[in-house]
Amino acid sequence: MASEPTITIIAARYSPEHDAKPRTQSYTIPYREDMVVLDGLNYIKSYVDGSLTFRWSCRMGICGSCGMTVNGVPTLTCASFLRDFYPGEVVVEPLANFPLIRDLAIDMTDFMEKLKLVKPWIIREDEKPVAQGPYSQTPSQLEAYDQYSACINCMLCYAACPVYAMEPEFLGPAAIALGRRYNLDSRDQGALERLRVLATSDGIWDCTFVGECSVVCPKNVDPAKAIQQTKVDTTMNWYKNLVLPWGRR
Amino acid sequence: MTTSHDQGPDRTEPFWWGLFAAGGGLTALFAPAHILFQHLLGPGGLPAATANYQRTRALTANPLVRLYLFALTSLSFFHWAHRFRYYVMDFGVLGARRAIAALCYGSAILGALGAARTLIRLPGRDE
Amino acid sequence: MSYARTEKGWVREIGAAPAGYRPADQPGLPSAWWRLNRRYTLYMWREMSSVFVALWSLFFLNQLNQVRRGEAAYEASVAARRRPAWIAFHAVTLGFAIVHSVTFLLAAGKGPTLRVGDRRVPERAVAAGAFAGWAGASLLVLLVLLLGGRRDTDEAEGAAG
Repeated sequence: MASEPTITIIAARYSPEHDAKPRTQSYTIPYREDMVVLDGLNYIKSYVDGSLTFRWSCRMGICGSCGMTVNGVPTLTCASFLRDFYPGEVVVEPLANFPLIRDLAIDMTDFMEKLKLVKPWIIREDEKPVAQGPYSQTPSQLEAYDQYSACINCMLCYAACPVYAMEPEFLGPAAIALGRRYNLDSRDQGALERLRVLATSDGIWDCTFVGECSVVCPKNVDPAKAIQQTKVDTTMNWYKNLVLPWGRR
Repeated sequence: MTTSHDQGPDRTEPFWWGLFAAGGGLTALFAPAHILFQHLLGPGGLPAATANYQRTRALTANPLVRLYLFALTSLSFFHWAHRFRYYVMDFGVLGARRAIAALCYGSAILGALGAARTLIRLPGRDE
Repeated sequence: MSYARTEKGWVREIGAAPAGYRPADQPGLPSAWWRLNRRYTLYMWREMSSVFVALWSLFFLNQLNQVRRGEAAYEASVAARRRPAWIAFHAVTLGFAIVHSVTFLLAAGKGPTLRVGDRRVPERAVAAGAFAGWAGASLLVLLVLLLGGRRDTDEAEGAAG
């Protein structure tokens, strides 16, 4: 009988109950060309080792749950094909820069708190009564923030950012990009409020434009660009206020 | 630890970043040409003005030239200062941040003053 | 695998190079994290470029200082800069300056949000404009260096860069 092709996945393991520190476990599983890394992990969990712990949901690159470090690169495991590594080994580890809970699942509390800080929702000073109809937008008003609205909160950008690695206080790429997304939304009136958090030393000014966040982003949000634009806007406003102090802001 | 996030926009960073960006832009556009033509091809035979005393003196007598040189050099110092202050963090030096920032911007200010002094004290034309 | 023990627990450190399992590194950010991929490395060289450009500015100002001291002093400083050590410094600095220009002008496409009428100017157009500006500025510097300061030309060409 011809032997089936196989591939080896080396998965990080860590059980706080009995492991002093993270270790790895090697699994050799059947390989098919159409498998993604997540399929491999699910095969392991279903047929080889049910204790392997990891997050996943939509398996189609929209929920942002399955981010892990694959061969050193922050990746959505549902979007990364085994054939790109075959016949080599695939090392799957938890996402970098976040505390490890178990195996491949990390603690995302820090990101969630930072997300709340930037108030990623429409802020209005005055609400239009429902009878007056919806807040309309022209196509170009939509285009102004559209790219930044694609963020799926997968945190790959945080795993790629050396500033976040060294500086846990840093707001981080996704939070800043989402803050900007709402600042640019014509329906929003909360830019000043958000800039209190964004235009701080732990916000945009910590960023040194390494740019790796935009490289790993699976949705082409380009958070590096969002941060740079915020720096430019904030700086121009600063100088404008200096020269024309009677202006607004 | 959310307290540091709520202190309001930083009052001084935009100033330094503006100088950094201006310095980066000016040096990006002009520095390579100066270095190549004046200091590499010049010694190789290119008749650059700066290789000759009389021509340098005549050229730098022009106040616009002096202004340009002041902008180019002093903004390059501020560009360095802002970059370098964060660069040391990339090497793992995460402490003494205010001291390092003060050292960097302080040096840049001294450099800019030195540049001003040099350019103001340049002699005019002979006649 | 590269992990560090923090007060919140084990944290996996920033991306390690591929090719399989590696023994655990020492705790803390991998000291040479910039070696982990080409973009991190280029970033560190890019940051370093500001040091050399600033040094070049200093040396240039120093050379201009000699103008005050008279022809002999100035010509001596020019002659000194023909020595191999200076040439080497300027060659290295030129390399760094070009790294700076390329990375900075490419980044310039990401900074401002320029609009023409109702349409946003695409990033590539802004970057292309910036590179065209670089070419134009370099040409201007060359012309001023070639034509400047000559007695038999009129003042019109003594314009700033």
